[in-house]
Amino acid sequence: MKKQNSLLLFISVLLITFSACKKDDEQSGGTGSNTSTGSAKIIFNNMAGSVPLNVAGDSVYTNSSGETFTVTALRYYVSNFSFVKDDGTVVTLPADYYLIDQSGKTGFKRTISGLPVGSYKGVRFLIGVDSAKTVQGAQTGDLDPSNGMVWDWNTGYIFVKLEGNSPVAGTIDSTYQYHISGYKTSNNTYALHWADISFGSQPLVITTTTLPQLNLKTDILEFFRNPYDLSIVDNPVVTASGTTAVSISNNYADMFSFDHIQN
Amino acid sequence: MSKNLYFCLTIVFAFAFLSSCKKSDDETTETPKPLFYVPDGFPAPSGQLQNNPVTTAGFTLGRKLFYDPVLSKDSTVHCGTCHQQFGAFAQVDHKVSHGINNLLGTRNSPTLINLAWHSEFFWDGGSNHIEVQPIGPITNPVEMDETLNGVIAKLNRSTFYPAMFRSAYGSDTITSQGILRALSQFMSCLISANSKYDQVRNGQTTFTATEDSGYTIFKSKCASCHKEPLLTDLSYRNNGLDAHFTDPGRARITTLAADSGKFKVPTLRNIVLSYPYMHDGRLSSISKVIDHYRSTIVQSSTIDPLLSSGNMSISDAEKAQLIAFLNTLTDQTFITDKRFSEQ
Repeated sequence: MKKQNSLLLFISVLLITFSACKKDDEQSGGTGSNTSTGSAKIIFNNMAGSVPLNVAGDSVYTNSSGETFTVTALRYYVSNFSFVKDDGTVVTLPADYYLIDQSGKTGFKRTISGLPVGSYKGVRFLIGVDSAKTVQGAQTGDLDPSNGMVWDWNTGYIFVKLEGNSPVAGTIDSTYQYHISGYKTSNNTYALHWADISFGSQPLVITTTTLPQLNLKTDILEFFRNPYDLSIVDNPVVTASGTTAVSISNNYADMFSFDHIQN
Repeated sequence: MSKNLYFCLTIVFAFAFLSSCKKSDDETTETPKPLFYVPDGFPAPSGQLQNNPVTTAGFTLGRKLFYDPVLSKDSTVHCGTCHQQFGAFAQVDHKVSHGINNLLGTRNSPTLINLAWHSEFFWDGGSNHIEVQPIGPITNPVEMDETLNGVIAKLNRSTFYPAMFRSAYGSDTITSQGILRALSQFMSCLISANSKYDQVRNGQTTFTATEDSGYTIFKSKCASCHKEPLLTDLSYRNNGLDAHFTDPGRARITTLAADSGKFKVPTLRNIVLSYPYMHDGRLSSISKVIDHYRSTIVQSSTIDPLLSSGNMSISDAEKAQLIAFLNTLTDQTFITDKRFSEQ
């Protein structure tokens, strides 16, 4: 018992010593000598083609299969942000997770902090929640399972949820339901994609005092096309992982695009 | 001076020695066990308690929630309804789970035993963490049919839950994470490791001749799937119940046809208590389970390779010996431990 205690003490001292060393390393390394940081606001403007998306179910849209539909819910996770500096350096931020919900409590405008001061030409983020986080048990905040973006029977976060009505759905109340997920790399169920977005000629300028706004567009018409023509009459409900979910995820992988920046 | 120092040191060492002796004496007579511990001879736990260390307050909150019907939509059903302590936390004599409004589930309630050594849950392994596992039964329309937000709202109206959350987590705020982590603390502490089988392993007692013969049969015919000491290898297998699968089992999770009809190998600990058996509760007794393995194994494309050569050869005498051994897996301490009971 005594021996174990002193061994524990010894290990603790070692750990403390090493962690102290590590801290020094991090401070001297990292993003260079200029460690001052600022924030940016990212705004996800949900669109149906060229018009702003109505998620109250009041507007009728047409997909690439010629089917009309309305939208009553659009919610998605974006996570693991990194930003590309003008010189090509990639600044990877800690793995944060954001539930984008136009009509819900988490909203569609999110402030990202901890960005080193400088000029940026692009952003990269994961559409969904990575496997590492998915296997860590009950979470809080945007990942709180009470947000209704989880599967309980086959653990995982719903990456993108799109719901609404369509006269061709053939279901009760003519509703269609798409809950797309799949974090396991095996068995053709992997539905995670990165969005890579270039800001073109408009730089995002991060300072310690300003809050520039990065406006992105999320076009839900892309959910239904390229490369897979998603037909509501054929697939009114997709709420499990598998080949159809993967095909839909290949569609929405490019639904995000750059709109404009207000520095 | 140095003589005094040596004298002092000797005294100190003597005390240290004596006190360490005393401690080990205490340990051998110590009862009951701590809430969470790793029994002798057990492998390392899954590690899912890593961010959720067991505390008395957390365990107590978890137990309160486990036995509280407010977790169900109409406040009629609690976790203990389908997981009864006297049945090793399975639902005795019910083929499939009974939820609110007399709704039936599709699968037999599994036992809750040594779950800290599991990293996947449900018959098909669909849940990947002990903390999120309770979301399944709480929200399933034919089980408790409640929402996490509904539970939080009801707990917030209670006169005692906010204080219990404060004791467990330092804050009155009731969160889904707090609920789920408390439940997982309670479930992780449902440790069964004091059956006669365990006592024999620890050298405290010996098997009778019949039990010992049964143990030998067990080791040659059962232990490759019901691996010691957990008495499950935690894998998914098709044990030859059907040729066609009304329940896809593991394939529901993996989407692979090769996993059709496969279910998680259940532990054999306390097995005689947790009847009926199989994922759908179709076999009502241990006797019928052994009869299945010796006479009704059905071949199919996903049959387990260990059963692909057909029925096992088990004589009536061997069957009786095997049943005698399976009875040594019953842990009276576990099913009578007041700490695990509704308070």
